[in-house]
Amino acid sequence: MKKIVSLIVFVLSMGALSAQDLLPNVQIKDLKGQDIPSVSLIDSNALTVVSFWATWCKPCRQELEAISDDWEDFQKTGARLIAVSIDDSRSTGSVQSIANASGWEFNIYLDDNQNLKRALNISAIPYAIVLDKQGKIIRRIQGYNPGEEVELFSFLNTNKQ
Amino acid sequence: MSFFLLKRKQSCLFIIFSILSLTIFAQDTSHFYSLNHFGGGIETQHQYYFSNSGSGIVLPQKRYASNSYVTLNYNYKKIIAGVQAEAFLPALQGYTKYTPDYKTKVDITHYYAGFRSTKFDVTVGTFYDQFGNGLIFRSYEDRQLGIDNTIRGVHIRANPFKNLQVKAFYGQQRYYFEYSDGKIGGADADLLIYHKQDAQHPITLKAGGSLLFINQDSLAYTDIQHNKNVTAWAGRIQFSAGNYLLNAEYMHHSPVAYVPSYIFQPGSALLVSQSYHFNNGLGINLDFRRLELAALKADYGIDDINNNLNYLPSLTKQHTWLVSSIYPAVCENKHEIGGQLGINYLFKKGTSLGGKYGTSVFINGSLYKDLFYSNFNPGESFKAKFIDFGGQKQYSDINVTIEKKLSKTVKGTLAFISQYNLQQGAYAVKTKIVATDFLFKLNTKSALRTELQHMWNQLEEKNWAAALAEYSYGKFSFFATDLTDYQTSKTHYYNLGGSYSANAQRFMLSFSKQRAGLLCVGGVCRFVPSYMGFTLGYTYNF
Repeated sequence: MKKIVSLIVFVLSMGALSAQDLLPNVQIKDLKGQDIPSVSLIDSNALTVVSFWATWCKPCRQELEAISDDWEDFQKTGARLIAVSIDDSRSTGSVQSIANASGWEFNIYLDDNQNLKRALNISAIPYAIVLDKQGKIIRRIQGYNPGEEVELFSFLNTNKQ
Repeated sequence: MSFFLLKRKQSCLFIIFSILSLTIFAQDTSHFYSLNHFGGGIETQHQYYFSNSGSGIVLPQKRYASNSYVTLNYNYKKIIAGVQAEAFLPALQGYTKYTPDYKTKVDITHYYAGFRSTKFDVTVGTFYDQFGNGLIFRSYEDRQLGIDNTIRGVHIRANPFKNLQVKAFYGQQRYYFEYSDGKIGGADADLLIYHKQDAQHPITLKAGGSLLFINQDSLAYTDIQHNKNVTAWAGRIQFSAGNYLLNAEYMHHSPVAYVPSYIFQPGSALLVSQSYHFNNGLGINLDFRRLELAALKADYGIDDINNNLNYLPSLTKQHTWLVSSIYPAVCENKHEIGGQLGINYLFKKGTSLGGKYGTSVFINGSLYKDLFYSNFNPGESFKAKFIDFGGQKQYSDINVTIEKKLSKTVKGTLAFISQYNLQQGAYAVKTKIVATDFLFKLNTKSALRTELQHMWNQLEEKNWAAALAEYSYGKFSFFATDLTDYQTSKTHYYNLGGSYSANAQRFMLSFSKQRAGLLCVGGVCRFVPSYMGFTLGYTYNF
């Protein structure tokens, strides 16, 4: 027990030291199965919202649909939205099809063995991060309640520059 | 204490923390973000149990149980390192294999250090990876299921040429708080053969191959024929042209002895997935899979989901309704043939069926049959035809889901599911499910979500019904669910609680009566016993 308490204290102290961090560079895939480095998600001209979801995750799809419903408002923030699916080989084949039928206009990538999710220490989805133009994580959003997209848009507008 | 006197785990930790301590103090503050990165997370869940004699719920040996995970990852330039500690005090109901004696268990379960760049990486310690679609090898962690089959050893990935990636590893698989006796080695290559970057008609052709070697010299089988060395190979292609995608993989392995069936013979798995999406909102995906004694294990003496080396999930729609979890699809991984078809379509805004906001329709059907005509006898080998749909029907599912935004503030979902599920090869459960989900946006900060579900079933526990209400206000959420077999025992399985999320933190408190049954994620299932009690959860990551 002492070991784990020590580690918790150590982790929390390290967390306090590194409140801002960089997107880890691990391999994810595009919808054609091509490996790409996660750092290629960074846009040097705009903020990037990376939202982790799966076809079987109801609140994840609610979040993406809420943003999609207010797509014009999202675009006004000047940010990019990237949805990273953690579907594994059971359901990767239906990711594109479900995105299509949902009318989503943003880019989708696959993290089928959860390399990026693990590197970001994410334990459950929905989970979103906001990257600045240098790839620094400037916000983490765990879970989703309806209406939280309004707060996200406000954050993106405030941090445009 | 001399370094050489330390145990292997301690030695690894000593190396990792030496690297960490050197790099922490070597940071160049002017380029802090480009040099150093600490990341970590805490996930902790605590339960306190009560007995409920009316529902047959008995107290576990300990009233209090908890599962906790603490992770820390660090990188300095291209050097990476990390640790994970786990505490089961004792383990929650459903995870008791982590603490079978109901004693507390705390240990550092993951520790690694290495070098990572875009073209090359090497990891010493614990690692996860997947070859191809996972038919031959997948190590992963799923805390909800209590699965963690990480490999402890050495892992290398390299891109020696622009279009070629190779990976190799050697190590032992984690099995709860121990490691498998079997030693595992693997290699994988992925080659981009052709790629045409064209905005209208891009074409990509990739091919890959994998090898896996399992050595179980340390195992002592006395009563069955046993091959101590198992080899497996897999080949795959991936082809995409415009909106069409083909993904096919075949795996074959040398003879192994399966416990408890005691069959000794080779096995194979074939997966062919295709999808096509039209620009008008129509998408189609079609999967075919054939499994013949396809499970690869680090230790063939143990029949446990934590002991799998490859990933063979049920290729069916993963339903999220409460009533659909009563009879979930379970892939036996042994001998099945079948597939699934998904057709998804968006009726666009302004059309007669799309209305003002559009309508999404998701149709899915799946069918799986036993690969063989007759049952096998213990100890006897058998031959199966490669393509043979004459076997006993194991599972089928036809489902339609319609999602529609009804107004600016109301969204609705209507689902119909018809399932056939053969239970342990003995009798079939046939169910029909109708379920609805409505989301009402009350204002910009609050919303109410409701679910009503009903399952018709002629056998066993007969009909089931469920209801859910969830109210959210800003970062707070309160929920109440109830699931009941209202025609038989009339037991109510409920869950009442709330959660609060603030950026990277989330608190959750609930009181529930849990039904005994299978908890399934991704078609992999774990039995969870019934219990009643409080659950307190907290997660934080950075």
